[in-house]
Amino acid sequence: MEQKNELVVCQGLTKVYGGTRALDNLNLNLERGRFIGLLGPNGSGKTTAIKLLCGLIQPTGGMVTIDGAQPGIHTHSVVSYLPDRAYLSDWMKVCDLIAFFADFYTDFDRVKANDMLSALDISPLARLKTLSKGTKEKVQLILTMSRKAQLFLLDEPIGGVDPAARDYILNTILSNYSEDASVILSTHLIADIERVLDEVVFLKNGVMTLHESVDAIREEHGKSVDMLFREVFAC
Amino acid sequence: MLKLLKYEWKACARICLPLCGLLLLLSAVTRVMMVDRMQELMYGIPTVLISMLYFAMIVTVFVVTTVILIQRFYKNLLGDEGYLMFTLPVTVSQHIWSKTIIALAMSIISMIALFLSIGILGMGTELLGELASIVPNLLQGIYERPSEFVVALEALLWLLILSAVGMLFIYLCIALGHLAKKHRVLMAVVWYFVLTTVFEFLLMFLIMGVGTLPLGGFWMALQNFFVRIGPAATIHVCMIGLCIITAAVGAAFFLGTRYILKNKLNLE
Repeated sequence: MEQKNELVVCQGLTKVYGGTRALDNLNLNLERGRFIGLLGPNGSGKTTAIKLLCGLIQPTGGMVTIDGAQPGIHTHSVVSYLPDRAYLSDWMKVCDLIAFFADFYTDFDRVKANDMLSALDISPLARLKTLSKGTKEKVQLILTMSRKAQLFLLDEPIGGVDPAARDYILNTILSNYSEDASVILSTHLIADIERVLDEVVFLKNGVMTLHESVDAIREEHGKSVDMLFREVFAC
Repeated sequence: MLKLLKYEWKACARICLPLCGLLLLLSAVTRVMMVDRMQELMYGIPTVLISMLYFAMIVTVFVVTTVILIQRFYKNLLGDEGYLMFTLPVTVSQHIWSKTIIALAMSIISMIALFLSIGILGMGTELLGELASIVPNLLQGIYERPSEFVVALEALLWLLILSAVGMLFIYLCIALGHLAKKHRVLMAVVWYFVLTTVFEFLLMFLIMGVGTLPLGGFWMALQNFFVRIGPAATIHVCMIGLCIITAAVGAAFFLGTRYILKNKLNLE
């Protein structure tokens, strides 16, 4: 029987694309109530790991469970996923999308979504295709963070936006996940998120090279995560 | 499932329904232009032009409907929108069902629109009277020859199943094309032609080979069975058998598509 506090369990999780091992034998246990940074350079397997957690791809080997279940209907109902691309139908209006999310996810909070929209001056009646790229990303983030999910999987949520918006997005994420929920955020922009992280997972060429709490890194290595990252991944 | 159907309907209806409306409007305009006095106007050129437009519109409705049905599957499930659709708490089967059912509904609606528009064209002529007389004739027919009416219903059911199987076949081809790393649309088209050819060959061999198989006893038994139940029942049995065989082929397409979407999904 697994411990109740374990939210994500990966055992020997492996994904091979063609001849490339995009993710190699990942063994990882993540607890509830943590803000986890999935860090690594481009092509290190971050997106592959997140897609495996979402059930968007099937593992070549090993297995993963979230909240005790393998990716499927149950995990979809407790995982809120933000992909690294525009994934909404652009002919829909913002309010249609809110209705869509509220219809499919029982944990979706309409009031919260509308509050965030008005805080950012986004009209619910706007069609997605009329919005700028940055605004679209904000809408996606609002929809993702308006759920009371147990696990938030955010793939590069700050990659394409300006530093001012970055702060807003991080604050949005921080203020919207409850205590027993966890956030996994993948990025290579570490300095921007270092202050919010509880623990980090380093990925290099599909292999996990480090999984430690941020406090331990500071104590043991006497360095910030950003400095350690630059050292580990120095070219 | 109902929610999936609702959003699928919204996505398709926003394009299909206005097109059907336009078709009806154009048929009404064409009808007006066919009045004698209008035909004399400018040597009848406007009438000819409008009629041509009307026929072009019929073609448009059917081409656009087909394109939308294919695009909805490809873009909504296997494009970027797949990142949303496949992380919803619904099963892959429900996705395929919702797409197939709405595709079928859209095809039926465009067929109805076509018949209505022909009805509008025939307004005030004998054609309309003939069309109108179908209903009482039909009712009388049902009353007098209920068995034939049931056969007609069975034939209609078969047509429905056949259309659904046609959609599922296209979905299967798109899913097979998705297995390729690059040129997925092209590969879907290639699969379409390859599978169509294979099925044609299979059917040919089946028809040619059936006689040579050692199934003499089976055919005799079948023939005896048909003689025993009489010609009317034979037709029913054949129609239902046809429906079942067609549905089985559709089920195979469905399962193939589901397997690929479930296990081999690899969104770009």
